[in-house]
Amino acid sequence: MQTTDAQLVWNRLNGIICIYKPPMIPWMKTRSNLLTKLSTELNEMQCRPQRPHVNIVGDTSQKLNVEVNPSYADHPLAIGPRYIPQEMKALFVRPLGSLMSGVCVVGINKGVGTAFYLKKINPVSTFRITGQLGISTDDKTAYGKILFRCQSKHIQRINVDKVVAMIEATRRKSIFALTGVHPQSQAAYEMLAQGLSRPVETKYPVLYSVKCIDLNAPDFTLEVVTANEHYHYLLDLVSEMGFRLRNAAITTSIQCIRCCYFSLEDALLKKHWTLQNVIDNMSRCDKILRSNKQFGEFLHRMEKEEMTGVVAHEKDTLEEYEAGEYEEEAKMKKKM
Amino acid sequence: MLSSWKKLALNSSHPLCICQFIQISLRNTFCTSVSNSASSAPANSTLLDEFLMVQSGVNNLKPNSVLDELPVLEDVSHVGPPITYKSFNFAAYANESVVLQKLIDLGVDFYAVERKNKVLPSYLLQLNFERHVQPYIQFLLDKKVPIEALGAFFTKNPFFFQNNLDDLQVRINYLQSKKFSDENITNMVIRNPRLLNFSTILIDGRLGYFQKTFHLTGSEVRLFVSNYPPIITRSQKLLTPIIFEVKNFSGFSRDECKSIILQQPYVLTLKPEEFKYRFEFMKIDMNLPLSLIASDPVGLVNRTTRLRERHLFLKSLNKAQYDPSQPKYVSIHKITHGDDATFCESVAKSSVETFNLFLKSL
Repeated sequence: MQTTDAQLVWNRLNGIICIYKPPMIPWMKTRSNLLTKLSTELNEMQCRPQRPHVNIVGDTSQKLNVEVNPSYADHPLAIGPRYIPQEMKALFVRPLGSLMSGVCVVGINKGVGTAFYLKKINPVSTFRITGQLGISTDDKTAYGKILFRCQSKHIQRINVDKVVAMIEATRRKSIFALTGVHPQSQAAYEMLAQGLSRPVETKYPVLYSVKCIDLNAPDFTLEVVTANEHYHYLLDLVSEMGFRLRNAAITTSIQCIRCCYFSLEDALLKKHWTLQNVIDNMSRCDKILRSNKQFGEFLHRMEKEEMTGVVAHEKDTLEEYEAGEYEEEAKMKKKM
Repeated sequence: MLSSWKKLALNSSHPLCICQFIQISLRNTFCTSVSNSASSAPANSTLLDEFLMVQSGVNNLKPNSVLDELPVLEDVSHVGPPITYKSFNFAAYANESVVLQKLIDLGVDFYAVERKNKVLPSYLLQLNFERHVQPYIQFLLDKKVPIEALGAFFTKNPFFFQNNLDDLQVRINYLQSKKFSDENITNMVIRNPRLLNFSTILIDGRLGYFQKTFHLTGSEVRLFVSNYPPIITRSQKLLTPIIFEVKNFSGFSRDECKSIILQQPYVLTLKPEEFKYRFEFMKIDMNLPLSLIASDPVGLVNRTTRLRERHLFLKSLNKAQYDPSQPKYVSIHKITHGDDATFCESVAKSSVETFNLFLKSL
């Protein structure tokens, strides 16, 4: 990095980044890892000096002196380091579960507003799910207790493709139910002619396509395109596939290979989470977002609002949204 | 009503009080003059006199500047309001307390002290540096603890000044009687500052506990403890489950347990679940025999993610061969040590870019 001034770098640290979440680590842990790494690197740079402290000293019977010394109360050993992770903001657009790995889009500091907008448009993400046939476990993953086993070598590509196509067809019907349009109407035709119809609500998961891209029994790989998905939805999908094959299936790994406009190439590995790389990644992600027509307009509007001093209307709802999300997480944990 | 105000104002010499009195009295005079001018004439004259008297008093009460010469003959610089212990952190007192300033100069991190201790060691504020702190620093310097290590020492052990100096000497003497060399003792004190807070009975009991559970000889106990001194003061509540996991659940023999602990005593600070996860990964996924894990237990101490990533990469290249009797043997020590560039060059014989691409496929 060319500068050694921490303040300059801190002012530059606003925007969207794209990271690669490693498997077997919860997303909140990933978040704290990222922020602590950034804050420690900022503290190693040249930070602001201690504030001056005015002191009147001397014998009161003689003339008193005024001394100006650096304040001990503002010493980094007394008040703490200048940059701490608790003061930094980070919002995950689609947080991934602990078993999942892959692309995570994160808004940092002032980029939280953009990240929240990305959240609101219910982005479509692609998953690559690897699984195993012939085993059933209590938590539907490879880490649970085994309930039963069955033979799976006889299963062929055709059988899997049939079942997967059936699942796709049944789930696609639910898109009409969510949008409130009759499937036999002109409105439905126009909606589909425009392209992918995004869900209006954030509650219900929507499945666009499922494909089996690899089968080497008992191992298989699926590619799933969804919106509003969550960890247990994907696990249920795989177990349903096993059930419809008159067999059993578990998931061994779930990898997010595409989220919103970002793919694996843009994602930063954990060992590359340094200040220089993060700032480079921010400018890269910004270019990708601006190249999109709809999103470029939104960013332009946001910048205008900041210039005029109008408070972004998203900010109030953002906190409510975050609070709601944490509640959901807590509920899921209780269930587990 | 008026008279009571008057009394108050005249008795108290505070300028604000006097001003209030003047305002009230003037308002009253105007009211009375409008209502009955003839009868209230004598009363008005007395009030005006009083007002003029007070006004001259106000002029005399000009506040002096702090820097002006005062007619005080005594030195009262040491007199001041007492420090009130109300704040939850030390930074609030840092500009007033001399002890804190000198300890900060030594390198004591009070921010870390506040975060780590549930009870704030507020007794530090009442200490006198020369009387209560200096003898302890001198004691540590006599034991050949370097000055640079003192900051970290007091950060980890802020309650050190509560000990009796004679007790500390007794504890050092005890360690010497157990044939710990002087170098070892200073090393132990630096690496585990809380060691000297504990009584000789407790430390003796803990050393005996380790000797009994792992069947160690005297010299082995000394080696084990001096390799990782924080293990002595670790609470029994945390130690028992992990020791049970290592000794009984994992299936190591008595000698294998001993070799693991003597080489990597850090194993005993792990959580039982963490140890189980690492051990099962090495035993089941990497297919290592127990004797090989026990002879070089680096994998148990290293981060799981690193071992997992590198093992899977080697497996994808068909180079995961951990049997020492076969050709192209790869030791676990080689996998866990060094950064990615050296690992890719020396062990995997491929480039870092391919390794990064592989990591993105996990």
